[in-house]
Amino acid sequence: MDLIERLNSEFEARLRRRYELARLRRALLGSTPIAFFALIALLLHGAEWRALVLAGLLVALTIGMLFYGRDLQRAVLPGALAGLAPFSLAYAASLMSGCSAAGCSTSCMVACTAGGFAAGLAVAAGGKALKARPSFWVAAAGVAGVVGMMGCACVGLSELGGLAVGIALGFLPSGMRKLFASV
Amino acid sequence: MSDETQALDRMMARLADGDRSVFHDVFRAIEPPIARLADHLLKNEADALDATQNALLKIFERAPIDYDRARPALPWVLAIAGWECRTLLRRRARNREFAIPHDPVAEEDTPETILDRRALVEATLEAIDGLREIDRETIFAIYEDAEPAIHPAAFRKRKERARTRLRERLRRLYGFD
Repeated sequence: MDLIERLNSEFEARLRRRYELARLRRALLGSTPIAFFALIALLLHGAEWRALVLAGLLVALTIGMLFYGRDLQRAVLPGALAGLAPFSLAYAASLMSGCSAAGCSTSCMVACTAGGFAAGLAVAAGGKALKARPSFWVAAAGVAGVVGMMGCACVGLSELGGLAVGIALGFLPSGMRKLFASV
Repeated sequence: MSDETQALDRMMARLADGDRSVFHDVFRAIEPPIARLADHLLKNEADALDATQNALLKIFERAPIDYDRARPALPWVLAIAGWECRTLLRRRARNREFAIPHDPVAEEDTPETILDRRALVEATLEAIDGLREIDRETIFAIYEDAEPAIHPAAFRKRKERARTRLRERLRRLYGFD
């Protein structure tokens, strides 16, 4: 490698660092609303350990996805918005029936499952509208799941299963369609 | 629109989207036109190299944030490069670092004509800088003879408007066309 080539590749490496730093700055800035949401969620549901872990996970996941870019970056907003369905339904249920980490009611289970189902449908619709690849679906479902869990975790781990089933059911119509289309 | 321009638009959009695999290709595609612009505006090899490097750093830093995928990449890139040239000229004027001996000047050029020419370039860049982004990009696209991303008739109209606005601005700022 001659001197010019070496200087060029060093300069390119410098450009790459600048580019990655710019992406990181953008990711940190872009995750601010999510961090704000996580804070609100902690205030609403109480900062017990599960909620704290989920809030940290949500913020870290968002930063990572925005930094990586491509499908993962595009999945953050639809996923977060979809996750608001189980989150707010679980919050409404906890207001009405007073369910908490100590004891949960059937209404919380129903709220989480219904909310998860709605989130799954929303992610499926978003993915279809954007003609997204599987990575988008998985990423959006992941974000929706964590946002939803922030509401459902407060009423017990058993509710999270309901949320997972809801999201899986939400994907069912488009999954079936794809399956039949490929047969 | 030429294949190269289209390919650059696509690569820049992918880079802005986070696709690191096109990084090297984007670098290879945009470095020559930026260097040509800097050479032409600064007429000094060392300054042109500085401006090119600064412009490239800015472009790769701004690509994930500012690049508008709906607009052609080359005028955007050249507008940033033009801005860097102007900044360098300003800095040089402020520090009185006129590297006259390195300039490729004609024999009949006196130091005054060289300074006049530089002042003219700086004034033009200053005027271009005050234009709207779309006009700035159009001016640099005209300079680079870049293929328009829009219909040729629409591009002609856009060129006319950009030229008229530049002329008006030069007249308002310096009293000349």
